[in-house]
Amino acid sequence: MASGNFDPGLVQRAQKGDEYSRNLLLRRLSKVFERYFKAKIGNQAVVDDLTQCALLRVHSGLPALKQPDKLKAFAMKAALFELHDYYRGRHSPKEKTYEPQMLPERRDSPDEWFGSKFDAERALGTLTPRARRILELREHGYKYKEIAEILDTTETAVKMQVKRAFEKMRSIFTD
Amino acid sequence: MDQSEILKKVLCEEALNAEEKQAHIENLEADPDLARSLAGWQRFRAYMRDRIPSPRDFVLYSLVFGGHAEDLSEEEAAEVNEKWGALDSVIESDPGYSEVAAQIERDRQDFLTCWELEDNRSTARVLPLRTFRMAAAIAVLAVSVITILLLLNQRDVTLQVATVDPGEYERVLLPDGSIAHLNGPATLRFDEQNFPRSVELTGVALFDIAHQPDQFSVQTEEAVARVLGTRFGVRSMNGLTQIVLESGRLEVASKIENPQSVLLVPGQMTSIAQGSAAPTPPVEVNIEDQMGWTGFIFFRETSLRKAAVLLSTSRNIRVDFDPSLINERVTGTFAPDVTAEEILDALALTLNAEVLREGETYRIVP
Repeated sequence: MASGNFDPGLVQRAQKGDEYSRNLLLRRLSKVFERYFKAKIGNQAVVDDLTQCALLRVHSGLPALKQPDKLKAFAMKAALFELHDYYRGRHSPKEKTYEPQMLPERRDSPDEWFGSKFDAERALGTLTPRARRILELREHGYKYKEIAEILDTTETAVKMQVKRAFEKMRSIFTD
Repeated sequence: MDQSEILKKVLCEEALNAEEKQAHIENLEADPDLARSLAGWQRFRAYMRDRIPSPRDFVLYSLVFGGHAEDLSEEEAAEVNEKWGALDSVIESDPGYSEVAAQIERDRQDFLTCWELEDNRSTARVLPLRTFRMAAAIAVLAVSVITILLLLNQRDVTLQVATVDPGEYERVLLPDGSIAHLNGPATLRFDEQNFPRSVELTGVALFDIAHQPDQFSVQTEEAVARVLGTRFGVRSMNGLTQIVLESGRLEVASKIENPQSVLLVPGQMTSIAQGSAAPTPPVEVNIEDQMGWTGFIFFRETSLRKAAVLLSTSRNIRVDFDPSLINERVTGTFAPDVTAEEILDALALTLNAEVLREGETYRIVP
């Protein structure tokens, strides 16, 4: 549907290579992205990064957008992809929980402890449904504080569940 | 040092200080089983991470699952369709999925809200363009609903206070759909929960009043203005209130007992000093020049020459135009947060013209 700042005519002109229209469109989209990421993340440096990345997605995908009136959905997906990439990426542990180089054996990776004998499914089976939800949400990139909000509990309780999950798995890992 | 607490921190990926780190290393050296368990934990977490679909797949799947398949392009829909079985089985066995899907739905809604706010921030109403002798007309009505900074008064939870610093601009959406454009310094007070269509103002504001059967009133120290549906500017400073009406009808009265009132028609101004019994008789004013203090730019059948000057002055840029456009006239209203580029774009659209940038100068050409 035609709309104020993002009418399909402007999108079509931008798609046809009209530089002024493209710049205007991206400028307007950048305001939407910035407002959105600011509301979701807050940190200005991250907001700037995500805004740029989302704009890049739009910029590179715009020529292939078949229906100019679907710009809103197109931009929404660009924003959601960036947001969830960010969530997932921020979880990449900067500091490993296990630091092999600090141990006398100096093993290079957890694989060398277990080889092919590692039974992940058995470990998974030790988790309570709640602990599993917590760990899965964590792998989706949510912070423990956010997980606590999602599950309507406290951050301390969530972390305690994580520790309990580990304690239950220890016998499997040391078999 | 509490080893259990350190272990919890390690498991939850919290940073350790130097002392805790040393204690942790010593603990690992003394307890090979713990070291092995932590290695297993790390591998288990990696296993869980690998099971989860990519963020892109997950977002697309969640959009379809949430009933928004229309948001996907044909290619994306085909992609999801192809992976549906695999995605479905992973997600079915993932108890955390429903929470993440709900979060994605909230993320989607939040984006759409941001989109609407920006899309409606400046909506162009283009009037018919005849020949170069006829007036080109454009109205950009700034009727945006934006995130507003409202400070909650702790003593009365329903009283909202919006304060804008000097030089700043804020658009405040009122409970009845009316909008107050505050051009700082300004303070606006109103009861949010039991909104009686009445606000108190100190400073400068432009009001877009939603038309409703009940009157809307703006009170300053000196005056009270009552309207049905209209747009008008109020400047209340140093014991004097000036009111200029842009559209609609407006009654202005003193705040003293048994006040006398005046009725304004569009393009008229009145003022009232503290303690005065009556407002000054309405006088005709030029909206373009007399409402500049609201922070808005008003073009009313304005020649392009004057429009260029007003825009240049207001936005601190240089604007020029091709001599062939000398007889063109424009009409429109631009809020303080509409950028120069956006205004130029609106003008160009109406005039069927283009905007070129030549160094520091914007030039409108046919």
